[in-house]
Amino acid sequence: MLELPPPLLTLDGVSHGPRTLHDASLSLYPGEVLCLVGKSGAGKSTLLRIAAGLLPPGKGRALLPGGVSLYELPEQVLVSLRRRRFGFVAQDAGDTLDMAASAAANIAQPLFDNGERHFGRALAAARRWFAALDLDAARLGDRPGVFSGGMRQRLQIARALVHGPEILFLDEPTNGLDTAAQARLLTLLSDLQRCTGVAMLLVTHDLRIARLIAHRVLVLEAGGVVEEAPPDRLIADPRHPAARDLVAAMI
Amino acid sequence: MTETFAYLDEDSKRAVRRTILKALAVPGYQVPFIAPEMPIAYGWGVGGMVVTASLLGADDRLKVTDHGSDETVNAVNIRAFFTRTAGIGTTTRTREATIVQVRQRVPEAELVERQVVVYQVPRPDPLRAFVDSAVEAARMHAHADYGRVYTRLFEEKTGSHGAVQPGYDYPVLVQGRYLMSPSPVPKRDNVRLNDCPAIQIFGAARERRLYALPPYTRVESIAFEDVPFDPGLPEDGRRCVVCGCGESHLDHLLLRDDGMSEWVCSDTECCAERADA
Ligand SMILES: [Zn+2]
Repeated sequence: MLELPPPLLTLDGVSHGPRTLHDASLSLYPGEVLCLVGKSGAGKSTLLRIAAGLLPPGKGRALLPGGVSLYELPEQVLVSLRRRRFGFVAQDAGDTLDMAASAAANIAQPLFDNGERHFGRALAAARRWFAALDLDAARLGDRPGVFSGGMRQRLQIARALVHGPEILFLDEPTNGLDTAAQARLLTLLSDLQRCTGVAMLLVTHDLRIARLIAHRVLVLEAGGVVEEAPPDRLIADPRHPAARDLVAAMI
Repeated sequence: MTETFAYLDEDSKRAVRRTILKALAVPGYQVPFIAPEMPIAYGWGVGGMVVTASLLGADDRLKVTDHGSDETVNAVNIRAFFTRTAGIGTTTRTREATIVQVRQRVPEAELVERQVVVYQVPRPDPLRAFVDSAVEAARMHAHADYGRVYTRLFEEKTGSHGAVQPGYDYPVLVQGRYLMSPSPVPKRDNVRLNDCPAIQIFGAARERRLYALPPYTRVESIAFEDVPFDPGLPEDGRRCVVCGCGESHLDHLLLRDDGMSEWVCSDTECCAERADA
C-alpha cells in the first residue's frame, strides 16, 4: 500500500462559539484539493479561517508538520508563517485587496511582506502572475475597483499565489460570478493547482464546484463534519441526509 | 520668578537627557518622550527647543535656522529666547556653533564631531502614513515589518494613478534596521544625514517621540536594490539670484513683474559665503 506523506495541516477537534463549530477535524495533504461543502451556517468559513491561521479556535488545535501548533506560536511568528506559507482568497475581494493600490502593487505586496527588495524581480513576478490568471497586461496599473468581479477574483488568486505558498485557502471564490466566469475561474484554479502543486482548501455551498476541482470532499452540517468522500462517490452515493440535500441541490 | 538657565529646571533637563541617551543607544528608534512645557505653542518647535535647552551649557554657541535661513521670525525668536534665558552666544556660522537647531533643512555647511544638530519634527513616524493605529505601527517597527513601504514605492513606479512620493520627509532606514522620518527636509538632504560626524537628535513634542543618530550612522533613503534612490537634484537653468549657485537647494523667492520666477538659496549662510567669495 502506498504510504501517505504527512499532512501539511491538521485540524484536531476544533470548536468555535457555542454552536458555530463543534469538534471538527481534518487533514490536508500535499498537492490535494480538499473542499468543505455545506449549507450556509454549517460552519465552513469558520473552519477555513481557523485552518488559515486567522481565527483562534475555542477548543482544539491546528497542527503543521513537525507538530507545530499554529495558535501556540507567538503572534509575530504566526503572522510571518502565514505570509510565507499560506495564501488566502476571500469571498469578497475587498477583504484582501487594497482598492487604492494598483493591480500590480496588490500582486507584489506579499513579496515585499516576505522581504523582497528588488523592483525588477517583483515586477516580473506581478506580470507573470497577471498573465497566469488570464489578466490583460495593459491593466497592471489599474485599480481593482475598475475590474469586473471575475477579474477581481483572479487578481486575488494571483496575489495569494505569487509568493509560492504551500496552501491556498479559498472562501466561496466563485460567489457572485455568472456561470461562464465561474467555469473559467475553476479551470484556471485546476490548471494552477496542477502546475504549482499547491494544496487547496476550498469552501463552497455548491457540490458542482467541488465535483470540478476537488480530490476529496468534507460535508459539514451544523458545525460538524458528517461525511467525507471523493466527489464522484459522494454524488453517486450520498449517505448522510445533509449530503443527500447537497446532491439534490445540484440539479 | 527665579530665572533658570535655559528656562527648564534641572530635573526636567535630566529627564530629557536620559531620553536622548536612550535614543542614541538605539539609532532611529522612536523613544517615548513627554516634553516639558515651553513658552511657545506646538508646531513652533517645542520638541527642538526642549532638546536644545537640555543640552545647552554656558560655553555653547547656538545657531538656529528655519528653512535653512538664520533670519526667519522663528529662527530669530528661538535664538533670542536662549540668549535671554541662558545668556549664551549665538552665531550664524555653522563652524562656530556647538549646537545647531534646524527646521526643514539639514545644514549644507560641513558638520564636525563636536557638534549636535537638533531637528524639529512634526510627524515622527513614517508608518503612520500606512496605518492609523500607533500600536500597529509600533508592532511593525518592532519586527522591521516594512513591506508596505516598499509596496508603496512599487506602486509609484508602476501605477497609472501616480501617488507620487513627496519631495520632502522621504523615509530613511537607519543602520538597516529602523525606518525613520528625516523630518520635512528636502529629499536631497537625506544623503547628508548619512555618516555624519555630528550627533543628530530629532524631537517631536506634540507626538511625544524623540529619536537620534549617533555620529557616523548609516542612513539610507528607502529604495529598491536595483533602483537607486533619486535625490531629486535641481532643475537645469535655475540659479540663485544672490550668489548665482545652481547646485544648492533653491527656494522660490517671488514672481517678478514679468511673471518669471526667481530663486534663492534656502541655506542663507552658504549663500552669503558664496556671494562674498
Ligand atoms: Zn545663493
